[in-house]
Amino acid sequence: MMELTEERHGGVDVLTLRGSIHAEDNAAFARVLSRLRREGRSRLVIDAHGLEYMNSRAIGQLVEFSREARLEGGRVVLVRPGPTVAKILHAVGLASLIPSYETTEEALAACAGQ
Amino acid sequence: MPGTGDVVVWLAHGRDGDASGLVEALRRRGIASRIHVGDSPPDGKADLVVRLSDSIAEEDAGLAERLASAGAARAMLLVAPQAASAGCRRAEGGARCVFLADRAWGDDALAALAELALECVRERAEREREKAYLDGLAEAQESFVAIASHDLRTPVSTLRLVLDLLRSGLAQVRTKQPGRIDIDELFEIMGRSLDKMDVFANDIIEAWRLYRGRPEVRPEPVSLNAVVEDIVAGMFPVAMQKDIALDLVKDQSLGPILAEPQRVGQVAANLIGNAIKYTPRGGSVKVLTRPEPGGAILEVSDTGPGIAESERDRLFQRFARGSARATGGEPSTGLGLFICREIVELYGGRIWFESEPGHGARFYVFWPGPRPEGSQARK
Repeated sequence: MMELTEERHGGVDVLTLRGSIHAEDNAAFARVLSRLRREGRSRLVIDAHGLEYMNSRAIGQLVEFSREARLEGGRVVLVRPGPTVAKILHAVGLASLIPSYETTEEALAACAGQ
Repeated sequence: MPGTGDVVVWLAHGRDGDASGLVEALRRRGIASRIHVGDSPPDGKADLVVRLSDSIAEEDAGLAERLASAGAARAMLLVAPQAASAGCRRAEGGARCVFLADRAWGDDALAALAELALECVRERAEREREKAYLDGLAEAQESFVAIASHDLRTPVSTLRLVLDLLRSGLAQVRTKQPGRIDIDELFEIMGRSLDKMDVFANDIIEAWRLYRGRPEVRPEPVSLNAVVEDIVAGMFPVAMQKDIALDLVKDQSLGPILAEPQRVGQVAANLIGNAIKYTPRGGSVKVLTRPEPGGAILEVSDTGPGIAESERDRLFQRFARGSARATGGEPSTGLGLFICREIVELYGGRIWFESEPGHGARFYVFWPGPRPEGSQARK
């Protein structure tokens, strides 16, 4: 079950995710990302240190968001993804497209300084 | 080694019922795990029926009837007075070994003959097993060769065609000209053909290895969660390509199972790969682990077409390709589930499934765990 909270730090949005993103959570996750895109938000920090699992569809949604954000000069970064999520990102070759940082501050700086 | 099994001592009608000396002699030899004494034919399956009769003439006259009465017994020892003139002879009675013996020989001699009869039963069973194994091997070899030649011919023909196109000069780099072929498309076709051959070669080698003889196993404590997590992560690219939601739900309290990580991974990869293969775009595949008394369960469910009623019995057999079609054109050898079952059984596990046609399939694997300390090893 996914728990999601949102914060805004200037031009950067921070989504804190907890629990797991499974099939039943995909629609809710997609809605948040779509709204951010509609609002023209393209700099996104995902705090994933409490995220145990993210399914393939959620990864796909994140990749799509990241691809569109980059076209507008934005980016998506992660904060301390859990071991399973890190393993998945590595397996799909996304570790460089969606880089990870140790702290939210580092991630915010990386996003804002784009 | 003495034979051990069920021995029924069948007392002919009208006898005084004294078989205690023979039973004692049989016990002394330690050849039977259970001895039943009665004055009617055995009603269950016995390894040996010893019939104590009143006259040899009666036995000879009614041999066929006696054999029929002995039901499923695998050997028969007919004991009658004055049988010495006929000597001890051994005859074939259908699928049974039949011996005739003289009552006067005494209980110890009869018990020795009973041991010989049981030995005969064991030898015969061994021969039958060997024959069934060799027959099965010959049949398997035939089907392996037939399917291998058929399944390898398709990608080889494709590769030959692509090679001809490359030689013809019709293929060009990133061309959109009419009558010309984009060389990248040809490379893609070649890649797919090679993938097919690769999958097939690996499967057929593994299936043959498992079928021919029980491979050596060295079970060790394995974390099912860790193995499954690696396999699921590796499946993400193909799941993403088909927009399939690949979910993993691990029970964190799961203890180790007793197997080998590479083999457990092979089974998990086969089941999860199959689920993704037959699930249409936009569907979902769920992988779950949970504890079970004596071990752990791996469960893989999907939202594919399910398994037709008519295909269920042979699903785990070699080359059992069902009517469902891979939704992304992935190759299938029909060996994956056979390999899974062979591997799971190597470690004393079990594999089964539930499915309602049109509503997906759910496969279960039970992996045994280490026996709790102090418990008896299973014999």
